Amino acid sequence: MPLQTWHRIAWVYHLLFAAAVTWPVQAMVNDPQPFILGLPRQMAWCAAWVLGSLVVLWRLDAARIRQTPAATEGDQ
Amino acid sequence: MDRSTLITVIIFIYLAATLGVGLLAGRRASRSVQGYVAGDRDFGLLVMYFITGATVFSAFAFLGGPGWAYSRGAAAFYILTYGVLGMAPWYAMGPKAAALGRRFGFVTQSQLLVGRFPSRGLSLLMAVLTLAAFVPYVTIQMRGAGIVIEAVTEGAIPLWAGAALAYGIVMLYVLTSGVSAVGWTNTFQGVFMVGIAWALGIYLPNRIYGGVGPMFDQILAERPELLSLPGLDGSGAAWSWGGYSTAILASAIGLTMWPHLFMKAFTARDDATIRRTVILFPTFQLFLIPVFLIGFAGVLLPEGPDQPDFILPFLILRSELPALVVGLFCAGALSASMSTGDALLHGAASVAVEDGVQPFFKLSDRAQRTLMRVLVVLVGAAAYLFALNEGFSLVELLLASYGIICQFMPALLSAMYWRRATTRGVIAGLLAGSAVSVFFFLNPELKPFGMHEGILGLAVHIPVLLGVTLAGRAQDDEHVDGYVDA
Repeated sequence: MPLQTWHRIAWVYHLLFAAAVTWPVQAMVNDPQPFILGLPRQMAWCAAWVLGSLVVLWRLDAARIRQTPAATEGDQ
Repeated sequence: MDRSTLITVIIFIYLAATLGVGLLAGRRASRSVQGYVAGDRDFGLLVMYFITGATVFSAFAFLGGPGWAYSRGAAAFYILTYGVLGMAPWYAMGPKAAALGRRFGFVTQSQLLVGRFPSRGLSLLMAVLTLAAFVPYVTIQMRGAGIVIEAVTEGAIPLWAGAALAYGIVMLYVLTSGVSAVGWTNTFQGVFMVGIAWALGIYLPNRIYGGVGPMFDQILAERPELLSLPGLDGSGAAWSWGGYSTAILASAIGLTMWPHLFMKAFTARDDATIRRTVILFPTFQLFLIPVFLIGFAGVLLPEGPDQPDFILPFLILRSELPALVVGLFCAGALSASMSTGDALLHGAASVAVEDGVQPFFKLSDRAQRTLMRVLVVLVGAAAYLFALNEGFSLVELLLASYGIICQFMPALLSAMYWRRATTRGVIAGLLAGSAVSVFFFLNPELKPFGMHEGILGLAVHIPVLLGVTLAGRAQDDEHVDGYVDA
C-alpha cells in the first residue's frame, strides 16, 4: 500500500478515535457490562483505541521505512 | 529499625540515587546554551521514550488519577484517552519542528513561532503565557511529592518539608546539568513509576476484593453511578458530556503544545527517534489502567482519606504491605512528581531567558546559562509558595493550565503549515483566545454545556486569527518557504 494511503489511514484512525471516546459515540458505548478482561466495557473500549494507535502508527512507520529511500536509521 | 524509619531511609536512598544520576548525566553535555537547553540534540530512543512518558505522566496521573477514579468514577477514563490523541500528531509535527530547529538553531517553541512571525512582543507574550501555565503545573508536582512523603511517614515529614526536600534535589540537578539530567533521571524514574503502578494495580484489587472483575462486580452493585460515563463532577453530581468530551479534546491539544514537551523535539538525535517515541507512547499510556484500578479499589472501603488525591497513599498504608514495598511505592510516586517537575522547571527557565529576555537584551552564552539557573530557583520558589495552599485539587489546577496552552495550537500550526498566516493575526488570536479561556475559568457558571475553557478560547481564537490574517498583507514567499517547506 502506498505511503500516502498509510498517512491517510493514520489520520482517519485518530479522528475516529477522538469521535469514539467523546459524545455522542461514547454515550452509545456506556454499559459497563460485559466486563472485558475484568475491566468495565467503557474502560476496555478506551484502552483498545489506545492500543490501536500503536498498531496504526507502527504500520505507517514500517511503510515509510520500506518506501522512502532516505528513511533509514538516523535520518535527519 | 522501626517501620517509619525504614521507609524514610528508602526514600532517602532513592533521592540520593536520583541526584547521582542527574549530576552524572550533565558531564556528557557541552557547556553551551544548546547543551543546557537541548542536550546538544543527541537524545536516543531510550531516553526520548522515558523523557516523554515520564514527563507526561506526573503526580497528576499517579495521585490525581486514582483520586478521580475513587471520587468521580468513570470520569477518570478521559485521562486514559487524551495522551495518545495528543501525542499522535507528533509523528508528523515532531520531525518538522526538529528540522526547523536544526536549520535555524531554535531551542524553544517560541523561537520557532517568532522565527516565522517576527515580533519581540509575541516572544514576550509566549514567555508570559508559558510561565503562567507552568507555575500551577509545577505546583501540582510539588504538592504531589509533599502529599506522598507526609502520608507515608505518617506526618513525621510534613507536606511543606517533603516538597522542599524533593524539589531541593530536583533543583540541584537541573541547575547543574540542565536537560541531560532531566533525560536520564526521567529514564530512571520512568522505570520505577511504571513498575510500581502495575504491581500495585494488580495487587490491591486482588488483596481487597479477590480480583479485578470481582471488584468491579461489587462496585456495580453498590455504586453503579461510578461506572457510568461521564462519571461525576467534583461535587459528586453527574458530570456533563460537554465537560467530559471537551476535557479530552482540550487536554489532547494541550499535550501536543506543552512547551516543555515541544522543546524535546529539539533534543532528539534524529527524526526516526522522534517517530519511534510517538509509536511507543501508547505502551506508556496504558500504565493508567493499574493507576485507575488502585483508585477503584478504595471505593467500597468503609473509610477514606479527607482528600481524594490521598487515596493511593491511604490504601498503601492500610494494606499491611512490608515497609520495603511502601518505601518503593513512595519512590515511584516521587518519580512521577519529580520527573515532570524537573522538565517544567528547566523548560520555564529556558523559555523565560530565551523568549522573554534574550530578544530584548543580547546576553552572552554564559550569561544566559547563569540567568536560567537563577530562574529555575525563582520559578521553583513561586510554585512552592502555591503548593502550600490547599485551595485546589491537583487535576483542577492542571485543567486550568491546559486552557492557556491550548491557545498555542493555532499559532504553531500556522507557523509550520499555513503560508498565508501573518504576525498580526497570530498575536490577535493568541490574545483573544487566552482572554476568553481565562474569563471562563474565572466564571465557570457561564460555560455553555460545561465545556472546557480551552475549547471555548479556541472557538474565539481561530475566527480572530483567520479574520485578522486575511485582512492583512501576506508574508514574503521566500521567508515563508523556509518554514512551510521544511
